[in-house]
Amino acid sequence: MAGSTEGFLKIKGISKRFGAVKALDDVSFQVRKGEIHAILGENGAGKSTLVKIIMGENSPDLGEIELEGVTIKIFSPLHARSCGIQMVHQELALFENMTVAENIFPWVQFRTRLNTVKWKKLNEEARKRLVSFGLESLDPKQPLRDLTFGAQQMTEILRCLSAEPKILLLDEPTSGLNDEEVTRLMSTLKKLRDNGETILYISHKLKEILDIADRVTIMRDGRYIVTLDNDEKLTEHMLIDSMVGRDLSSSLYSHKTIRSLGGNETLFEARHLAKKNGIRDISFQVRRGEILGLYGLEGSGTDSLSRVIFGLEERSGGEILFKGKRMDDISPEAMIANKIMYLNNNRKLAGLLLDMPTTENIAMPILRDISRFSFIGYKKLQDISETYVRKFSITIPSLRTKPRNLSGGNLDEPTRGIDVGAKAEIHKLLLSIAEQGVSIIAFTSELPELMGLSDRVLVMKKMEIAGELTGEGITESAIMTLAAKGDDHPIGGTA
Amino acid sequence: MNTSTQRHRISPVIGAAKGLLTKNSAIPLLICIIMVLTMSFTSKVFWSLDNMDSLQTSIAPIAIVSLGMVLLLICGVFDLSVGAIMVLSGIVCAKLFEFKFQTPVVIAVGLLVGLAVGLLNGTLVGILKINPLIATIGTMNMAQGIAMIVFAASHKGQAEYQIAISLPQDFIHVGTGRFLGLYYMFWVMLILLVLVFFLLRHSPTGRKMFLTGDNPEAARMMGFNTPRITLLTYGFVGLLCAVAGILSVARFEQANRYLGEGVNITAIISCILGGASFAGGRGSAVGTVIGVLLMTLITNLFNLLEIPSSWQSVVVGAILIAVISIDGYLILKKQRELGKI
Amino acid sequence: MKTKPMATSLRGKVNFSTFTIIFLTVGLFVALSLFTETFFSYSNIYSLVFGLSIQFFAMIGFTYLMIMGEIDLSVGAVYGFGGALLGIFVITFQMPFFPALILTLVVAALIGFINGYLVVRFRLISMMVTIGMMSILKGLTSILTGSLGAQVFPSVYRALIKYKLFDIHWSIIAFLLILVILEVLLKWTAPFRRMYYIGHNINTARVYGIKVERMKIVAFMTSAVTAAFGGILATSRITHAYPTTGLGLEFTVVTAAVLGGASLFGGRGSMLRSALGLAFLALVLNGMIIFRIDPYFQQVLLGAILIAAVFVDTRLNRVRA
Repeated sequence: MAGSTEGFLKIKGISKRFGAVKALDDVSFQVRKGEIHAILGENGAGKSTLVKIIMGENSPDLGEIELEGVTIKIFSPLHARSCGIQMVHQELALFENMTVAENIFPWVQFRTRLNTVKWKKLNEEARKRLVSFGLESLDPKQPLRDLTFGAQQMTEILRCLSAEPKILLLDEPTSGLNDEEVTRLMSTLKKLRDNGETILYISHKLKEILDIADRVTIMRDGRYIVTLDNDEKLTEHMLIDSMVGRDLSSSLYSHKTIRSLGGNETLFEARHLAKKNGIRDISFQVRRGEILGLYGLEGSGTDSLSRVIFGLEERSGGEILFKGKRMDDISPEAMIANKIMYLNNNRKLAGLLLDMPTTENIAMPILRDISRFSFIGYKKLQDISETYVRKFSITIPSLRTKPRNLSGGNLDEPTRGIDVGAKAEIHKLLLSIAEQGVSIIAFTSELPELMGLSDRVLVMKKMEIAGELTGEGITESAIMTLAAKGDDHPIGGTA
Repeated sequence: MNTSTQRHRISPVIGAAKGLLTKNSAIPLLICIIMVLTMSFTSKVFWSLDNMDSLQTSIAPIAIVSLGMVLLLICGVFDLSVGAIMVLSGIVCAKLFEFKFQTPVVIAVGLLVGLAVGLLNGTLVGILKINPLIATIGTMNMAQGIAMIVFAASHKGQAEYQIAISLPQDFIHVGTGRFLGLYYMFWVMLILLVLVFFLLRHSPTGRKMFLTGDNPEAARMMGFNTPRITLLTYGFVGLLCAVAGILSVARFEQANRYLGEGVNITAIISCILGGASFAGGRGSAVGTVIGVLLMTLITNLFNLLEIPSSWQSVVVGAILIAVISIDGYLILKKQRELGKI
Repeated sequence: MKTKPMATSLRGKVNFSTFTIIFLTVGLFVALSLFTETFFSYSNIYSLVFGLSIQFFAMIGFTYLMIMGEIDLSVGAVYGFGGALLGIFVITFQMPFFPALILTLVVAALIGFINGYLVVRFRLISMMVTIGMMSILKGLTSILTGSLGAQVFPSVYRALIKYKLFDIHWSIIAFLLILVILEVLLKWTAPFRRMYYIGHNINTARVYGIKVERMKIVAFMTSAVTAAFGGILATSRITHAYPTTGLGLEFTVVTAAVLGGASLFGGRGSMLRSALGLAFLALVLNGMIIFRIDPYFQQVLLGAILIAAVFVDTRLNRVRA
């Protein structure tokens, strides 16, 4: 373990400052060759800044990076790649119009003696690698845009591997994947590690880190805290302690008190919702003040259902009743008019206007409320914005800051890619507004979150509702049984 | 598995043919065939030598320019100055003949002029990152202006539309000479077609162009030198425009100031009919030439039937809209089936 | 999470691009006034503004489209088509003037609707669709003007442009009024503000209930109607239909909008700055005429200035270029 593999990658005294903010402060640690080294930290801990420096998108004010004993000054992403550092991005860098094979080998590694493209070899190699990843069903010649998000991410990983990197960097790779794909990714990474690959794994998901990492480096507030060996004694608890610097005595999600909602009227009801080649006969009810959790594996239809309900996708049958009355028009405007809001799980894609001031973002759904004769009451907007910011303890330099500059988790968005502390805050918030009578339908793929929030859980499987669980009946095994029973889906993600 | 490898071994030509029929350039091809059949039956002169000649000289220059334009569209950019480069090269050549330079020299200079403007475009768009629409409108104006200045240099005040000097025989031969019955310029087009086809399908550079147009950010991160690709492609296109301009001037034995007018839009439409898109990452050599063929046949048809030429624009516009609408619809349908919409 | 004292002023930092075009236009205006004798005269400036007031109509809907991230390259063709079509109605069909005017604008609205519908329904790239439409309309205009020959329009038509209020052509007054109103609407009212949201991130806009599709179609229709109206005014001014009216106008309009800070990707732009862009181009042209620059050289210079101006703008606004 030690010896020649020690100090394969050395981060030495890296500091970086952005204006008045010290993003990184004298960070030093070492990565061994052939290990899976995780970097763990809350948002704002400096993970992403460090990653940017390693990848050459930023340069450090102080400190240096040493790879295989040679100090390198990485001045661009291209340079980083040529040094052998390959990264799988959170927002994929893929070519939608090109085939899967071309996405795996964009550098056309297989050429004839005349320097032309060796298509046959290219496609064969692509197929080989897809199979080794368990993706036999994919045709290397099909265009990438025909693939699901999870499959696309796998393709990107394959692409990084095709460049035979010295170090593979993965930044929050599981954010878009379902349990089955996560399991596949974990086992693949382990296989790669066994073959001698060095992997840097940036994540905030404790369970995954405990699953695959050999060692974990923890950062907090831009500083290096500690590097822990992932032996049997390491627990989530210990990780959290180091990450957060305070002791959360109980587990992440305190046990929910089971609320009695029997008396509350039905606020929202879906009847026989269906979509062509999609969800079939979905019916459920939500009471006032109730939190209904929806869970399902990939392909079960949860994502589609959420979009169909809000009118972002077309439905082929079924109806929605709100407060007992049938809604004729199922569209975002109608929903918002009835005060039904949709918070998306992919912020950049459809949740925020990244380049407009925070105030404008807050303003968007409530434009009608704050305008008189269509004239926007900017003062009123200012007041509302300030109230909300104070309520949520959001840290921003000024109300005019554009969300692009804020780290994730500071804005009221669902919990993808959000660190532990912020998540707990958001859950507290959701629970409190439920107490006040707001109903919540929560689609989540994280079991602990699902269990910690929901009064009732609907499990979907293969485009239908497989079952319903309430109160004490909401357990991990019950959920997974409903979600996966009868298939050869491996039950993943459990401790 | 075996069938696919066998298919690859058979021939790139069959691959191309297959690709054609399954893409939206099948429609333009179909229309071309229909038109050829129609004209064969309704007109006695369609297959005459004169008409065939006229077709060749109409198709070749535009096809040459379009084959350049499709490269740009694949990279995600385009060039509105192509017609201006044509006329600039042509007029410069004519002027040089006025000063009694020799043909090879004149042609060389003409090509250089095209290359220079092309590289200018490439610098503006690829290196300085100026938007291609504005940049090439700018160079278009500049090239046209310079062309007119050169043109009017010794014809001040005269309302002529062409430089009235007699061009040397060897130069004219470039435009009117034949090989195996076809004009030289037609051969040039054919060779270029093969070259571009090969470039796009089988050379890593061509594939890089597709990737660059598809996702410029990702291409940059993969290490592709996007500015260089853009610069060189524009340069190449400029060169091709000069070729087309020189061939036209030689063929018609005059340097007409209206040379190249409307070529930019025609070329773009031809490429789009062949499957290209302003979004980048798409396009085909054969499809583009079919597009040019379509546009030229329409002109031919209208001439033979004595329909006023204004209707051509109408028909071309309608076909363009129809083709992209169908293409858009098919893509949408596919996405719906995948449940992505 | 800590709370920090916040800067609560809504007056954020001013965007550089706001200043660029204002600076350029005003600067040029001042320079021309100082360094020539003929520029700063009532008649010269008046005729400039007059010409602007007609061309501006082609920019109204166009600017909205650019803010939303679309482009309409058929404006020049609609401009020419509008004038010719009205001519046909009035001369060939002997229709009374105002009904014919309304009918022409309705046809223009239909054209805009087709553009918008295709873009929205089939998710097509607006540049391509409008190039096709441009081709169709150019051809139709040519046919119409051919059939009209060189017939001069009836006096009602010719008089359209001539009405004056306080001795100023009404189009100038309308131009300034509309400019002010639209600019205010864009910055201060909800419906127009939504256009910026659409331009910034169309998916987000949809999630928040903004009727994206409808707004785009309406904008395309507006673009066509205002362009047609501008063309009618232009034709009225020159008293008969030329097939080349509006030729190249789309390029002028695009350049003016981009000079005025609009981005081809959407999310930026303003009516006032677009108008300033147009003014800048007009000033450049005017300046070149005053300096008796060879007309061909004018073209060269125009091209060079265009490139320089956009280069400066690109440099200052790298992020959203």
